[in-house]
Amino acid sequence: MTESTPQELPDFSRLDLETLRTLDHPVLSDLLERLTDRQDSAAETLWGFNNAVPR
Amino acid sequence: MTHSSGTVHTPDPAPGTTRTSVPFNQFIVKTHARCNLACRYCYLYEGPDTTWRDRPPAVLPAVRDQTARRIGEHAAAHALPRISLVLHGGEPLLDGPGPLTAYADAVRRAVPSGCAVDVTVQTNGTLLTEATAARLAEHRISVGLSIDGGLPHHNHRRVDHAGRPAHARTVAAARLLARRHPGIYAGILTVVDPASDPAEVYTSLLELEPPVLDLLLPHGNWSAPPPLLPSDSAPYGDWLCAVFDQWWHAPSPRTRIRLFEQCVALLLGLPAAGESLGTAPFTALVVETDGGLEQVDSLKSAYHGAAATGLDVFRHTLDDALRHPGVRARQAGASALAPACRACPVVGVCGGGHYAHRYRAGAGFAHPSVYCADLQRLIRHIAAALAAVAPKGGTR
Repeated sequence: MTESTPQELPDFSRLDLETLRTLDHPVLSDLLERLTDRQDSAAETLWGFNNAVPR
Repeated sequence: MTHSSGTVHTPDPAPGTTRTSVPFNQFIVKTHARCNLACRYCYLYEGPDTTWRDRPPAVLPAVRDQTARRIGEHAAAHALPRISLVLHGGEPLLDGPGPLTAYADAVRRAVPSGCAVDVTVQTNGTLLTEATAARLAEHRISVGLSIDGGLPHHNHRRVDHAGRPAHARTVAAARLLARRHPGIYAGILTVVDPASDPAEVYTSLLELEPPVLDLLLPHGNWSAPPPLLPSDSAPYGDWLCAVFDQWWHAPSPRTRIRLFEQCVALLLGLPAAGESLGTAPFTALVVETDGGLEQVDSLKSAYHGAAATGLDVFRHTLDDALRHPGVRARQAGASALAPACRACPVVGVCGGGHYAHRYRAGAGFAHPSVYCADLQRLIRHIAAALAAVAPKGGTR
């Protein structure tokens, strides 16, 4: 923690993800699609080890 | 005692840890303990830990088979639907693909029928040939490469034992995977060099067509700080923000960047696990070439023996490893963090940063990350980018 930056982060926890997916933002849409839809991605979020790129 | 919920209840939790543990689901098995490169920043062979010197260079079949049995019994006991097997080194391709395919086959045979096994080899790519890639593909083993940028000068620290650069051979491996075996091309790991041009590094990496890219902060801590730290500014944060902007504003996705995706997910309150960010329990375990059970290698950047548990696959189950105080500390979430971190508004995203980066000699790991300012810089930058595109008032 650095004392020079104590402000809270914006609260995105109540955003509607479906609405976010429809925005004209290709990178965010692609990410949300994988995070919310795909079985593979759900598994991938479990792989925490940094020094490898599991598929 | 193991419960059907998949957790292990421990009778005497250490201070600051939880009573329950989350089963391991990612197994990093050392198939070769030596490397054909001598990268100048290598935390494994150039750092304070020298335990590698006493281990067999290559894993023996008896160790491999016993490890597979332990993984299988762990998967069965906890009804794991899916596990990740990472074939690691040293350089795992030093003895060719045979030991790797044998390891993958042994683990796949050992797990229950309902458990999927994702297998990856993480390599410097210098020994990857067409024949080797084809063999790995036959055995459904994906390949992750390590390279610090697409151009030679990005990789000036990645050299072999004679000082010869590895860059050209790793680039050839990336092109082989991208053009001939895209189905097993897992992606690229890159160690950040804040002295490099972030736009040039990112653009050159895109030329290698990685489906996934991760940007790793070089290992360091408060007692052995990384280059340019401590600093009044945030050189690593600035570097990462520059790459993020290129990635985020692309007209179409060119690759995925794990660090950034985890940050966005955590900001949105979605699940994301990783060593770099977040407070999710860490569920990876290392098995060395002699069968020793260890925590991840990055801890070895702190001090000699930091990753050791004193356990091995012949005398101990993987549930025994779950009860090790070091493992429990990494599953304790925010409660194991320094008081200053627990009070910080960013902690839900940064999670205190990489565990190894919190170390201070004589005082352990209960400190903010040596990269605290850099992580704050990056996370707030990504939060601002997300706020800029998020609809106002669009709540769920």
